[in-house]
Amino acid sequence: MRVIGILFFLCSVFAILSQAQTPPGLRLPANIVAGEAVTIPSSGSGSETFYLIGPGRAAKRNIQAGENIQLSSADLGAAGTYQAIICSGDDCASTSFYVAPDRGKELVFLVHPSRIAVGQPNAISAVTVVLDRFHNLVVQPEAVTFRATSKENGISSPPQMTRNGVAWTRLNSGTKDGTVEINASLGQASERRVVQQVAAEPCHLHVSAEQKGNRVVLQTEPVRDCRGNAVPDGTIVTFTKTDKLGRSTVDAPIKKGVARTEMAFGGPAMISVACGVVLGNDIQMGGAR
Amino acid sequence: MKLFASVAACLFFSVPGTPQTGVASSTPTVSLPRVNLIASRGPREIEDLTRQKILHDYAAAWKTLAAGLEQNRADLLNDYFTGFAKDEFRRTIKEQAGTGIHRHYVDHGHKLEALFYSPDGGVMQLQDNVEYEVQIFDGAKLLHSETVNARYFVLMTPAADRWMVRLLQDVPAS
Repeated sequence: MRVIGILFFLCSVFAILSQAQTPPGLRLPANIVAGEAVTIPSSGSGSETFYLIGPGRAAKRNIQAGENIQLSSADLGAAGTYQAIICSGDDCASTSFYVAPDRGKELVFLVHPSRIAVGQPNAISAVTVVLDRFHNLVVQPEAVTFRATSKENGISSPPQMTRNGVAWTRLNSGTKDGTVEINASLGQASERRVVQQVAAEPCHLHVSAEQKGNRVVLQTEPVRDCRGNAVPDGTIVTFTKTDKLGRSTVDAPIKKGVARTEMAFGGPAMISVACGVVLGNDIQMGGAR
Repeated sequence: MKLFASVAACLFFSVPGTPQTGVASSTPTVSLPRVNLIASRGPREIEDLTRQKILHDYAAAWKTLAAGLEQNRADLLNDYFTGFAKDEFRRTIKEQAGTGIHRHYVDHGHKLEALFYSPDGGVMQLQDNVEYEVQIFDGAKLLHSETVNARYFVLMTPAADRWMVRLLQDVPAS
């Protein structure tokens, strides 16, 4: 008799505890992916209020207990942890559930810099972030391919698996000036960025001088880097003249591949030319030493 | 006489005076959540100044997010959120304001790990292990309250004078 009494007591306690822990009538699927529509069956009777609180959502609906609660694709677009709360009068019960990101569908692609000198090793950084169609970070590894295409050639990287949604690479700049197109692709999704490759420092900078009355005309040969790429127009070339009156300097931009200027000439002078860190030839005019 | 001198000296040195160095308050006027950066995985090393800025700006981002979700003010997001994160939280706040819902956060601190800092310094991915309490209200009615230990993935990018949160997504604990 005593044993039956104890068993009855224990069963009553368990029944009360299990009622207290389970939110009334909310059963959610174990695995939900962003953008999935979900139906939540509810139980009971009477009118209730349902709340859906999540990373990108705060919804409130009046429902009839016992009817199904429909959560649309838009309700569960953002990945993260949601709270489903159901209130009957002042009594509320809640349960949390996780919405996982969908498969990768979009790429955020960051390439830096947008302008680079030729012949620079590992100088271009390309970073891509994989997102699903709702712009959630896709944490599961996905294969991303990088491709660089210039007028000389095209090179593709082997497929690279993302780590925590990110894949990245470094690229050398090419040997010829011009644009290089850098692509990141994931399945059908592809993003393209363009990097302008320009000549490196000038090579064999050479100036010639021609005296015209009391002036001297200075002009460089076409300014090119050591690979033969023309140094871009607008690059500054500095001409320096040293004579008995002292030193005078003119900065002239390259136009159509050459830099040109005129300076006053009043006797023996030494003329030099420089562009960036590169020095050109010196010219002695009028018997200067 | 010797006794008198000793007592005088004792009194002189025991008179409470103004301390020579003032003790600065360790609690700033506007307190930010506690944020620590515990590890960094490269490939670029995080410079000291960048580290300080990240810690400050990430803490400030959480503070403004909590205030925005409590007061239903989307404008508070402008300072430290951009891109998808800003769009998402703006939408949430707008929906909260339309339904009378608001959330109250009590932030217990963040442990950050830099998962990726791009070679050009243009983007940083962080993992945040955070503990906070959240209360969800409909008007004055408390709907739900819990203490949360969560893990977030964060993308931050530099703006003119600060780092902005571009993506903030919670993920299941590893």
